[in-house]
Amino acid sequence: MKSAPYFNKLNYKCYLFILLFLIKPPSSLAQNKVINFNFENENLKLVLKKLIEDHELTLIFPEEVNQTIITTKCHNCSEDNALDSILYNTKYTWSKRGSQYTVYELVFENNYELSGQIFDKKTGESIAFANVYIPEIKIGDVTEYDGSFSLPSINLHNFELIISYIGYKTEIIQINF
Amino acid sequence: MLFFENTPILEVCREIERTFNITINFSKSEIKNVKVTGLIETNDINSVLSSLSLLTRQNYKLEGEICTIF
Repeated sequence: MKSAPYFNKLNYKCYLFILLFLIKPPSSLAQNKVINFNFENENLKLVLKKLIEDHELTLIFPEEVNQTIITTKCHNCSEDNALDSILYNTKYTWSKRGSQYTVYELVFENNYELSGQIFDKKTGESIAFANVYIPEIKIGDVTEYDGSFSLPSINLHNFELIISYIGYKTEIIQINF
Repeated sequence: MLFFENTPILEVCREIERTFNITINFSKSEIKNVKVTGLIETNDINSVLSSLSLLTRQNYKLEGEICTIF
């Protein structure tokens, strides 16, 4: 802490230089549509809409992306890099034709639907609004009133399934078949 | 450019039919209800139709003023 004044004096000119340097780039960055973001557990639909709104990306996507939650960040990305980063580890991919971007679901062969029902171990009562989630592919569902859930188009054969609900211990189940 | 929010593909197609003066037919009726959100650039009919076919996971062919999504 005692060396701080000395440090400030020495670098005063350098700081001025750096400031001038920082003021210049944004205008040129804007022209090249450089994209920056940092999303944590954000709804994929909101993220894609933000790309459209903030960067005027001509992008269309299926409404069902609102069932996917993502965590992603991008620093000085191009539009293509931004979409790669956003859709990484999701069941979606993108394509560009002319200036039109389309986000669509990747369909793998031998996909299947995983469905089940969540009950209280002691009372046997079905649990509504419990979260069921596969972290590896970031796909999840919330249980219905009868405790049922379904996770469509899964192509994994070994994965962890996380079941959580307020007031209950979170269950992590390893599924292999 | 056309913006859609949580709009059934059928409605999107009606807009595109008006914009390009074409007719779009579906061979599978269930895909008409697939909902989409986003911005469509209306410069090029083939970019738009290719986008619609990806969203519905179907193919398309454009013959004159008739487009079939199958």
